[in-house]
Amino acid sequence: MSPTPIWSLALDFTYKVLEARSGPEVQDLLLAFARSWGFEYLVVCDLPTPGQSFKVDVCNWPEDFLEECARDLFRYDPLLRHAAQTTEPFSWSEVEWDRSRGSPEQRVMDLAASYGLKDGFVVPVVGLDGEQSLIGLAGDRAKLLDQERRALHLVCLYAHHAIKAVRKPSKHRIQKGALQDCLAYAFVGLDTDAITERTSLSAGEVRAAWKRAQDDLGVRDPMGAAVKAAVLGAINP
Amino acid sequence: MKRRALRKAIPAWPSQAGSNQRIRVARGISYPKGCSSGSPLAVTQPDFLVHVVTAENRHFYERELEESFRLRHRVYAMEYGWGAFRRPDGRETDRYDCSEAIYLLALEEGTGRLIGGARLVPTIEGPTLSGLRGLTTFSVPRSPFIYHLSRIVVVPERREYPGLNLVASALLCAAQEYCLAEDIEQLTLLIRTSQLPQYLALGWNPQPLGLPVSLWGASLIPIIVDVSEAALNTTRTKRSIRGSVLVRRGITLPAVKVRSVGRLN
Repeated sequence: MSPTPIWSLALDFTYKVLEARSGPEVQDLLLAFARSWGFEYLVVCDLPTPGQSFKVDVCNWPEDFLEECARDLFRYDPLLRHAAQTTEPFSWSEVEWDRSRGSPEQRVMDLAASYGLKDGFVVPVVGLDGEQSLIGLAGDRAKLLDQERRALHLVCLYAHHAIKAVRKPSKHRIQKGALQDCLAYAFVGLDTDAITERTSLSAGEVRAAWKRAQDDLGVRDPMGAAVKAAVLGAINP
Repeated sequence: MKRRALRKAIPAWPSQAGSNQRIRVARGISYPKGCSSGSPLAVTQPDFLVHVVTAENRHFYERELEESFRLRHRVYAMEYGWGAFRRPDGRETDRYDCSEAIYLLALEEGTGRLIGGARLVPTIEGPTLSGLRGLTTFSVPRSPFIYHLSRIVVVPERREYPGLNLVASALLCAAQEYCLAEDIEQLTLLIRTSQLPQYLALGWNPQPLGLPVSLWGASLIPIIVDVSEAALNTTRTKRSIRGSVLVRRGITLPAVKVRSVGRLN
């Protein structure tokens, strides 16, 4: 029996990862996919802007390495610099930096190597408003054939989206049933306080429900959402 | 039922005789977040609408359509440097620019200047993504209810920021609106792979139809996306677009010829 083609594995991944419920779950799925090419470490972070610190979503890089870097070395990281200049994925070995002994850039890379981060693959991600972030995989080797690289690029983009989606604070997440309750109460004229009294929902959760209703139904206020939901048959007040 | 309601909600363009009293169908476009009314962006950004152009009403839009072919050439052949799109006459057209093609043209209100465009073609008789060189496809669907959305172009001066600019976003909204009204259920696209996160963020539920492929010096990926009110609403919300951006002028026939595919038989 021939092995499953890489594109088929990648397609399966895109379905699975969007069902993940937490950052660590996405991390496990991605590392399980990427481990066969020698990747053991994953980081998902926004690209730091001058004067700002790192905003990390998911990271299993050695803590000591991160601490050492955080002191002053991040600003010299040639991979971060390169990621800010491209939208194409790249292997560490493709990036140009000052490799002379003692240069700040080489110090970063030497330090990474001393923690087992010898080679890696980076996928820059540009968001809707042009905000930049990246997903980085690292290990002691990173040998990718062309098709594997393309598959990993695809997989990383979906993993990135999944991580950003699950990273939203839980107070903004609301179950469908609770949303319907809110809409049904709003339909009969109850406000947020009255709804919190009659349900197990907090005021924040009710507000999250209005936000979700606004996004889903394209309306501007709770009553509009309730009316539209009733018209569409989503609630039966 | 919902789709019928949406179709009714799109007002017809006034008759030729009354066209000097232009109806403002949707004054829906507001400025992106973070763009204050006093910013240069806001000041230099007039409103625009997206007009549907089909074989039946293209006589209203001959000049704008011609301009869109030249804009496509300018973007693909000149800016991107894609040799396959270069034409000696400076008009980027192919065999799918035929009577079946549906064009979405973003025209500035007042001046009528073309600032962007896109093209929809039925997959049942249109382009096949599977024909792309080097593409490892999962499967490329063909159906009367699936259209191919391509040639999304925006004039350089209206690309306000990196990412998905306002005109492109409005074209995407227009595509969703048109397809919802016409019972088109899905769209296939060939996009830059780096744009995939943006389609994910817009809630279009993109599913890859192949691995990313390097074509014409760029990493591209074929995808299929849902046509849905949720996708339309999310796009509007995330790009601060209020209401419909679509304009129909004259009579246009249904895109999906339902009888020909046996749905009503």
